[in-house]
Amino acid sequence: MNETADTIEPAAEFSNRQVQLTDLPDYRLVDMQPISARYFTWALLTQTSFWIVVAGALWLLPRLPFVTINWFGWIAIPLSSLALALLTTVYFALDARVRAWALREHDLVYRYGLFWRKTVVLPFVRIQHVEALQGPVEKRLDLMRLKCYTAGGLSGDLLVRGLDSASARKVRGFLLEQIAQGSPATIEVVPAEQDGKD
Amino acid sequence: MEKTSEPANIFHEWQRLAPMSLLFLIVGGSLKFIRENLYLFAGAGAGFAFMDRLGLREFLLLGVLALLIAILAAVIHYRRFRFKLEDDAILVRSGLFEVKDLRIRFARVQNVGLNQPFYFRPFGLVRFQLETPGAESTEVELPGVREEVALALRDRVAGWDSRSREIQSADDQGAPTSDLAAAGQRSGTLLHAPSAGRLFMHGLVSNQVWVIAGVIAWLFGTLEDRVVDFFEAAGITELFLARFSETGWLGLLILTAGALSLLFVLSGTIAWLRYQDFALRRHSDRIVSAGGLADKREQSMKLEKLTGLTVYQTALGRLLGQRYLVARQATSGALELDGSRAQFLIPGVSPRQDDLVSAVLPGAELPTELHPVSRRFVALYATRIGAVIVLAMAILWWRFPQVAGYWLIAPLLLVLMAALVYARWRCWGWQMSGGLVWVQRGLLGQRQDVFFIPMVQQVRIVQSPYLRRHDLATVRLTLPQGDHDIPMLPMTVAAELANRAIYAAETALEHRV
Repeated sequence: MNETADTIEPAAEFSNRQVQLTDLPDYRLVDMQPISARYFTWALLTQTSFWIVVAGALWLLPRLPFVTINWFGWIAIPLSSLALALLTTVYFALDARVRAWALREHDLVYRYGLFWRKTVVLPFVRIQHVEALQGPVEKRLDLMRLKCYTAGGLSGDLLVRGLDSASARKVRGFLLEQIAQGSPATIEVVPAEQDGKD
Repeated sequence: MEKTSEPANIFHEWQRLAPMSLLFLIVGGSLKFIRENLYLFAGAGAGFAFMDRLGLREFLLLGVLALLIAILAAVIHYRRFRFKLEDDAILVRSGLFEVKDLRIRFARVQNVGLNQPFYFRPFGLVRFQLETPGAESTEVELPGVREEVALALRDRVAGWDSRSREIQSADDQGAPTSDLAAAGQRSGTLLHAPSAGRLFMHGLVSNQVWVIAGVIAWLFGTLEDRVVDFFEAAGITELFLARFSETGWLGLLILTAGALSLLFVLSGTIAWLRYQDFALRRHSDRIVSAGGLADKREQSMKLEKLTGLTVYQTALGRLLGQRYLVARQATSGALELDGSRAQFLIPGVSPRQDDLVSAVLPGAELPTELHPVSRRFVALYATRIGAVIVLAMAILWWRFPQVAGYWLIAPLLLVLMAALVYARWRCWGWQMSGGLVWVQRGLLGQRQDVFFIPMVQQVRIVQSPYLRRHDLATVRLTLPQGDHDIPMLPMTVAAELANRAIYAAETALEHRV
């Protein structure tokens, strides 16, 4: 046994330092980057088109032979629709301000949701495929969506909205590069107070 | 049937399904058609109204036509279906207008399933299934192949063929025997072989009994008029009313107890038939379960493809001291919508078999202590649900003031609700140790999930306005088998858990599912 032990040469690069819990990289210390300001315009345009359809239906409704609307309906329906439209506009304006994203060395962080605020951390090693999506309105506004697929099924996929096209293409290229490398990270743990400052 | 008779020659040649598989395709296809369209037929009695209007003869003619179409579809499928076994993959070719070639490498396979319905047994045929991670349904299904072909294929997929046997280590307990019928006497390390009584009890404690009750109630609801007519014609209704007037409420109580007992006996018998002679064994790199009377099944799962385990204990199971386990694998979605993708279920586990958990998932031991979630869970849900109850009571009181007793019912409901919310909170718990995370939840029954933290695919931290106000967060860990939520953790704990999960995932040696 001793002979065997004597012959073992410790590898120069091998280390097995204890990792303190407080030293783990903290996702909360990441500087989040807001999404493109044009996202609000996109949300407004798509919402407007939806409300135009609703307005069309409301215009048609009293003209149908089997529908009778009294004076209260004539006032309440357009007013409540207008209020809903205004509320959704305010909602999207606030929602756009919450949405933010960040890239770390080994993962993508995305925050969204006005009431139920969600912060998603997606390790690069878990991404199986990345898709860049762009609808006609987004094309006009130079926006793109990025969809990252994982092995976690539908709920494991992440859709990052509101990126400008240039950033989206760069991020997509970067992610695909990371997927191709595919080796486990050798994360250098730095004390929490230093992390996120640079 | 196949071109060759020797299993050794089955590789590298196109094979066809056995002619008997036509029967399975017709029966299976018709059953699927009925299952998918039954609600159209029976829903709200529309189908019966249609039948009455059309006349029985025309209706039967339509049925015959549908059967002919099913036979034609089965014949086309049978004629066009080919499969070929290569050294490391299986090739399947099918389709009439659009020929579809599917090639699956054996290394990708996570589950091999063999089953033998009773009508296949005289012909020595079996149904063979292969599942891969991420596929929406069973990827390869060979509905009627000779048993020796299926077993040779299983051995090849599992690495139990002659070549790999040579390189298996000396302490390996060997491959399963090549006889599906001898499910109970297999080689390998026996992990679990529940008695007939335990299997019967599985039918009682699993939620299957409520599914059966639901189906019976639905059928009764749909056929109510006909059942009532039949009962009246047979004089059963009269007899029942006469007996009821004699015995009163006691009779009704006995009748209900009798019906319930019948339901439980039915469910227990179904479970016993389904899992008869169940045995779970461990071979070198996989676990194999086998059992069943009318439909003998063998399921084989690679341990490296195992992503977690769930220990279920229903309310009745807690009373009777019985659990069941479900081995988890990667799925294509959070919801398993396809019934053909059978769960790897281990029935009839007694509380004294705690070591079975670690035998299936090495390193996992049932936790004795769990971290609770925040007590604000009780406050949040009790106040919200309480407000709904009070509002509902107020509306009822306003609408029906003549009904007395609101002042008694409302507090009773509130107390009951608070007790249930508290029981729910008591059930929630989590623990992380040795790279494994346990999450427990439930109300009267209980469910414990265990999974490897490095398998985490995504971490999601969710905060509602209430949670933000109280510096709490819910952590959702997405795994290949689905999501696991741990609600209402103090923000520091939630962040610590999230950071540890991310760190474990990013530094894990094995990355792909």
